[in-house]
Amino acid sequence: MNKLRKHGVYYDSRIKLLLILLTSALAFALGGGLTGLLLFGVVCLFALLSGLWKTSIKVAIVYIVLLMLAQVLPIHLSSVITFFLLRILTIAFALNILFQTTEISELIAALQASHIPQAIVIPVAIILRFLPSLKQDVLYIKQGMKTRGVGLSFWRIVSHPAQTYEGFLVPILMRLLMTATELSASAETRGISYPCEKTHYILVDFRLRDSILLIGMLALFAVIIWTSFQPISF
Amino acid sequence: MQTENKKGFQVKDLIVTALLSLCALVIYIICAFLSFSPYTMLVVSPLWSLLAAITYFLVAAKTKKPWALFIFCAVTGIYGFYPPMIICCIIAGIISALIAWKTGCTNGKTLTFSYIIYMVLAAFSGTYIPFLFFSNQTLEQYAGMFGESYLGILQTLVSPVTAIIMLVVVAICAFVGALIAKKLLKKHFKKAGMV
Amino acid sequence: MKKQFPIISFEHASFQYEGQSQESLKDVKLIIKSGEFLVITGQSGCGKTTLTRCINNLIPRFFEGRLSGEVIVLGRSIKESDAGEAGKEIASIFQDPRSQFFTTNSSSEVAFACENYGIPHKEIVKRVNSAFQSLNMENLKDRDIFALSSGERQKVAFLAATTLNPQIYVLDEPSANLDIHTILQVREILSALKAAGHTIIVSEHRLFYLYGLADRFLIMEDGQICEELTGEEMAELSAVQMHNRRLRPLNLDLIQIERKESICRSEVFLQIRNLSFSHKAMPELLHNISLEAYKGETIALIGENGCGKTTLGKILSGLIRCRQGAFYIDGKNVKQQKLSDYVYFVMQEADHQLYTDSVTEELRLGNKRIPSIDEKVSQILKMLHLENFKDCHPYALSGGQKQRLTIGAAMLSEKPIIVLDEPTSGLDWDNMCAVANAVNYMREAGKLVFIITHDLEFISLTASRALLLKEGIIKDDLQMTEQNNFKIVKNFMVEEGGE
Repeated sequence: MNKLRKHGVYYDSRIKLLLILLTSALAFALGGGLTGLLLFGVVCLFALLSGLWKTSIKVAIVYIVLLMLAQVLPIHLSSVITFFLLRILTIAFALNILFQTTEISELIAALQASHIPQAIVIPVAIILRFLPSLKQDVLYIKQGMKTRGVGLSFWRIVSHPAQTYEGFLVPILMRLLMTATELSASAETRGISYPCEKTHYILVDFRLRDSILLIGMLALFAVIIWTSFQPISF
Repeated sequence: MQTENKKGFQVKDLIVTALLSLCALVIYIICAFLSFSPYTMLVVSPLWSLLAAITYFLVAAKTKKPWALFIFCAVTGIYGFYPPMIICCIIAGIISALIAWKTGCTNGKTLTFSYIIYMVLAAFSGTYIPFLFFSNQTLEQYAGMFGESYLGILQTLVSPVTAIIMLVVVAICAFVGALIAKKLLKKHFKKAGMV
Repeated sequence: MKKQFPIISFEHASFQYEGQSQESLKDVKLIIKSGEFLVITGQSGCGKTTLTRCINNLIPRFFEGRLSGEVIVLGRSIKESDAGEAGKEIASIFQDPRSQFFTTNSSSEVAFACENYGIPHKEIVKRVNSAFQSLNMENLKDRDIFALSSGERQKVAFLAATTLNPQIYVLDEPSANLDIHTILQVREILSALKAAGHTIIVSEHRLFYLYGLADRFLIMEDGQICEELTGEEMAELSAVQMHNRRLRPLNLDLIQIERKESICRSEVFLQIRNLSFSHKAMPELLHNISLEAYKGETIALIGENGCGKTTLGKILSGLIRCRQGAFYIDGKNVKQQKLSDYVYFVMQEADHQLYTDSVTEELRLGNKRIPSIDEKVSQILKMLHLENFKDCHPYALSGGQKQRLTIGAAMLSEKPIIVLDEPTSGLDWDNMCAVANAVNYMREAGKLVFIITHDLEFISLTASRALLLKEGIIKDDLQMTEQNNFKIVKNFMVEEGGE
């Protein structure tokens, strides 16, 4: 049915979401070294499960190269790598799984099915929906400023920071406010605030496979937490 | 233009809030390019609080609903994808909404105050918690690996003193950001009749 | 066809938006019958959008203000209903397909209304599938919204509207961002809906696609209905009679090119050689394009939505990087990125190019070094009828005024080449003429002007030459001095290069 699900195993998007939250919480809470490597390993496992072969290989290579660099570089640089870059890379990788393999509508349906209030689900949905539009707006404003002869350059940002900030942000915010009115008019006429039980086009159900996967994931994280409290380190 | 708290929940306000928190988030993403090293990363939170103030003030000015401020704070927290940050932003959201509910959504002074609280909490949970509270263990580990001199380097970066200084810097930047936001609001958005 | 009975009635209805000093609707009396196809037209700001907002019940709850008189839609007063309640029987389609989507997938978007009204899952799936089938658009199913062209998005908006099988369709300028070929496809959809007995109300500037389809035309002015014509009466009006009513023509065949002063072909001013371009990891969009252009020409770039016209314009303006191709200005080779020193680009969305807090400041921005700038600014303000707004905030202006302001900034610029991207989309007759005059002024001042446009009338008023783009190449290069060539251009636009 959709291009994203062609490869790998399909599993509930809430598991991916949980993976991100656990990874980001643990990446900094636990030590580096072996624990960090294990954490990365778990994320990698889920990426492979989702069929992200190429991405996994690329990210793993970057991870290993950074790890090796950390062994040979002077202490200032290697601390940056082990303390910071490796962890950020792990979290970014977990985020990547969600965004590469999940249709936004599916994620929204999953959130709604978990009885998260509309007041939170609607903003979350809108942010995902408008992120690309906003990127385009930024690009167009940049082009517009360039053609006006007040284009964005390093020199201009340094010499006129306030003007650059104002010139950029005001059109974006004006457009956002207009978009908000148009979008909500369109949504209102299609019954977004109609008082009735909402139904779904995409059905998400938490199947047995998902439960097994969830238990497996939690077990893996438990092992990681356990290892981090062991005195051994490499 | 509108009387305050005219009506309860409207999807229109929710959408305005969502789009403005998206804008705050994009500003954050742009600032976050600076976090390529722990040293420059210290600048990210102060810079964000300086630049994103206008989005917070626009939420208040456009919707005039205290709950919108709560949604704004909560949603930006959720997109931190980091549990402590989510919790702190929700707390900040509750505080902002309460202040706005007590003193109105057009009160510049109390809005500035709640914005500073929000930014300090967000910076505290998003940037400093991971480095301050959870890194002791790591530090000890590394000290064993690389020796005490290394520990010294890291400790200056993530010591409680640095953290407090940075939070004060964030608060000051948030205050300046709020001043800029109020100026922009008057110069552009009120003049154009958008709020 | 069903028996015709009144389905919507306005009884002395007036409406004033909150915070505005004037009424947008004044004492409107109107009865719309079931199964009727009604077109509301008139200049920008005449109140036609407000009228449609009454019908779909966005007024008075969503757009707040003072409503007097009575508006009854489907037996209910709009004072007691709201847009969500009315949405079950009234589908609305808006101007900008970009900002009316709530999801990122075409199928989910089509299902959106059904989900909100609590229709069971199985029924939603059935309706979504049959919607794509019945209008023959299965190629649009389950697609990423961002990968669709603006025409395709508008079609998805139509599909989304049909799933609830509403009695009434309300359309607010649905054609503003579409090329002629797509607009004619929209006509097919409308014709099918009409045949199925739905009541259709369209508010529109561009009337040609409604020719032979609409039962009744209302012409509005200052919040009032000032003239009412049947479809047949409207069809009999001549071009001059239409323009006297400040309307766009109903029949494209009536458009004739204006005689332009003969162009002196001295030396080639701009030369492009072998330009090829593709977006990252995409098939080639422009293939081996070569072009020579002279000062004092207005060249129209024509082609369907997504054919690469805007990309070509932006490459030419140095805004998009393009590695293949050589550019010569006045005989000298210019690096592609340096083209922005010679070429000024006016974007389609005026909102992307207004950066200051007043109209005057906007015109001065980036031009402060030009000698006697203040006089030039006031001269241009006068020419574009903006002098009464010179201290206004640019975003407080109407769409047409904003568009004129961005063109004013282009006129002040000292760059010899100007590219305008769809400068007349969504503009009424008067505003379109103002923009056409500005373009002709620039051409007569010896600039080289490119216009990227879907607007046949605008072409007839301004273009001296037309380039027809299709499949990445310039298919035809025509001088716009003969009616015959103009006919070729028209056929190309209607059929999009004879598919």
